[in-house]
Amino acid sequence: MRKKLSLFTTMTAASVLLLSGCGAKKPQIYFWTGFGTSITDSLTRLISQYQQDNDEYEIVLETDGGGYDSLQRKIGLSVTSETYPHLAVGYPDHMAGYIGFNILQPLDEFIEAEGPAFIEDFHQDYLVENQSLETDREGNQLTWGLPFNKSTEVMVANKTFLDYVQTFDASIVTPETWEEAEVVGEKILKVMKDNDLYGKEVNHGDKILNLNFKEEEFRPFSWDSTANMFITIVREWGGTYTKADSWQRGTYQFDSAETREALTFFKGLADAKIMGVPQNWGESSYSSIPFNANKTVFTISSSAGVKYNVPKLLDEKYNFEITINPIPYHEGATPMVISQGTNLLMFKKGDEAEQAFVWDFIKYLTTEVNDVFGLENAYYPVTKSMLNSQTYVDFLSNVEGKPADERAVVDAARVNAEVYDAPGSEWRKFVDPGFVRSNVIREHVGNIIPAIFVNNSSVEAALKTATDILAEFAPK
Amino acid sequence: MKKLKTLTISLLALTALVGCGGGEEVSVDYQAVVDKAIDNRAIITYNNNPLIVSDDESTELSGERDEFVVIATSIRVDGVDVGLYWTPNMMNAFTFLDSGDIHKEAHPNYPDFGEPDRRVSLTVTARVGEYESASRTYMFDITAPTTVRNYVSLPEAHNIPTGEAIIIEGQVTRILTDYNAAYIQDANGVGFSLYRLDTIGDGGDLTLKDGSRRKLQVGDYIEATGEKGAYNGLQQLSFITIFTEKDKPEGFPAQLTPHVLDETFFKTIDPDTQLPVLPGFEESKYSGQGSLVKVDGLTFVEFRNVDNQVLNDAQVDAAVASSAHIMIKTMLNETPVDVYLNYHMGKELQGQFVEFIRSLGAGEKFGFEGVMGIYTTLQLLPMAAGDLYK
Repeated sequence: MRKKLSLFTTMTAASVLLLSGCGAKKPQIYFWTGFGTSITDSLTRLISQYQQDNDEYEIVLETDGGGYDSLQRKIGLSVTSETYPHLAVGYPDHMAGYIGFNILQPLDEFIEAEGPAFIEDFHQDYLVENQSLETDREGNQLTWGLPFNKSTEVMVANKTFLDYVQTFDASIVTPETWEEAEVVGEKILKVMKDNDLYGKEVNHGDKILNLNFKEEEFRPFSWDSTANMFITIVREWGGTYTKADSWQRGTYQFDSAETREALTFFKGLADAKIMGVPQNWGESSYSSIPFNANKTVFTISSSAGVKYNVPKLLDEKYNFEITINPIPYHEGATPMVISQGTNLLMFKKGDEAEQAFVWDFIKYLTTEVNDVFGLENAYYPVTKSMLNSQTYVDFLSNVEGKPADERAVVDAARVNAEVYDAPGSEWRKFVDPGFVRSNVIREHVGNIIPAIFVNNSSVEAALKTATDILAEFAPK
Repeated sequence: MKKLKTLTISLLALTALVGCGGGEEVSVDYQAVVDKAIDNRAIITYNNNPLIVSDDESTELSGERDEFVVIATSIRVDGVDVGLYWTPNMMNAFTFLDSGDIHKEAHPNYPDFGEPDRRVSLTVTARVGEYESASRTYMFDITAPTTVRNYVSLPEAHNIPTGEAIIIEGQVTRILTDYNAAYIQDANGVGFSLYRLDTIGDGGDLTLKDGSRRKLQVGDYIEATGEKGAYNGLQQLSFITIFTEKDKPEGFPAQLTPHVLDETFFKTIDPDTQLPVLPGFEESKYSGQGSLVKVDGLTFVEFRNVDNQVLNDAQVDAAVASSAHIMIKTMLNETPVDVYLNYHMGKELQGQFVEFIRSLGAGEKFGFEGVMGIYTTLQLLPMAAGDLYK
């Protein structure tokens, strides 16, 4: 039989009383992110605006600018001391971990109280990752977060280069499918070789194209994120990347014929020098340097980072023009593009009043100012209302007089709004199912493409290396 | 049956403690508390996640990836701080490193390359006073590295493909104030960037020879394990998992001397690398990125932001206040040279450098001694007070 002890509240509880009970200081709501300076500044302004009418609690925004992994680590370490925040941003695999720690608050009761129109207004593709982690006892999917800062991938094209090579071959245009990309790539390589353009500077209109590089450095197409590339092409070719059995466990599913077919196609592009990845140019993550140096013509980049592909040389004549386009897709398949960015999460922290306040604040960030937050930070509105708000429509239509990098951000947003998210669009935005340590699979599949593109591995060898190292995630 | 004990705290004392309003009597079942503590998944984490295993399952910790788990030494349950007591199943199974106040990193002592893998365990009990939970054991399969550790010299590190796991060593020459990045240099004057430092843990980046930890300091001679990376031309060590204090090699100079660079260096561009080549490194075509350099005779032209837009005085102040990077455009005789004020140095130091520039008379020359970095083109990177001087 267990006996009970009697004692007064601990020092910690007393301290809380001291803070909250005596009117000495406004109670605080902690909001943790891993955002850097620019986004934090934007968020700080929005919080301050919110607090003008909602000042019963002080929202304390905390970030070390260390990114999402650092945030996940801090939250994980805060569980034992119960010092985790009231809300934070997070990816699905982070959410799985927080469910494991039993600190994540499902939002369904709050959502239901708002009525059905509230959740229907959200971009449904963005909700999937929030609603596929854990069910209630009746087997209904619970909602563990709401989408907040969302971006995707777009293809940036060097318009000046294209205009120039079209003077040799007018059929060289921005491709819509990978099969067209193969043809366009071949034609670009032919124009470059036949006209002896490598190692030259050529004039085109009032611009100069600096092609002062060697033939082996040139690849018409490139893709920044090799993990995104792998995951996207597996889906495009009809395969499955991973499968979550629950938030606790998932398996890789990519060891398949569809994956081999996709990789074989892209190995063909790599072998023909039509396509490269950052590692082909000695870069870890981005192709912006080779793109700015005309060593690649089409680069698939995060929509949140398109401005890094805008050339900014002091001599304007070398600053070529760009266009922003949808990424190519596999002919005959449903066009798919990855959705990136985090969700807003509420933790099991605070009393009912605090949680109600946190919920109201989450609603504010997702449904009232998400348009402003999006346009200030190159993210995309997460609800239909925000996507169609006057503020956002004005942002999309107003590019006059803006510098090139700001125009690129608007153009990327237009691809998102007018192609990917357009009413009736065939495009599907996808997110991979999250489970504990699903990030490990993503990390290792990111090495498959560089192995094939840079180290000349065979498709089989590259896949085997990945599946060997990911043995713990093998399908049972 | 456990003995009933009642802890009493003076009502008067507690009332004084909470300040306003009296204390509330709370009944605590300590056995339930320790049982709850041992079941809390946060007591051990692996890759920032709970360790999800059933009782008969083990977790692989790979020597190839230098994996470790983080254990908590206490946990708060229902307002009660519960002690967590860990025992490895053999004395030398793990090395424990501090990671904040109530966490430790448990690093397995991995078998060397070619040695057999082994199974080890960590057993934990939760205790408050004399109340103790049942013990829980976590099993681990500790696997030897599958490749010989890849020690490379700094010149080799510059040319090794990205993504390769490497181990490098050198003396720390500069550290950004918020420990975002650091630079090391070898005896021959080849430097290298380390990014990011704060991936190791809250207990400090550098493991000293006695096993304790502290933050990295300029002058430390270290060995660093990570993955070769590159960012806009900057060759760097990324995904760093280990910093270890090391003895300097025999003959290592007591003081590292910077490469003295003049206008000829900056204006002579190698056609292959599209970068200048450091004198004495013509064969390897090393540009000097990451190394200590000294440049005299710079004249200030203007401040710019990262988007290459010219900043006026108010915009420069705003950039400092909002922690934004600032570019100082300068001329070395007829050749432009960029000086980059990375906001990770902190507002105070960044503001001091801005004020230094403002204190210059028209056309007055100044000098730089510090690390040269690269973002597409070479840049001088002031990071410590005194890096810019008259």
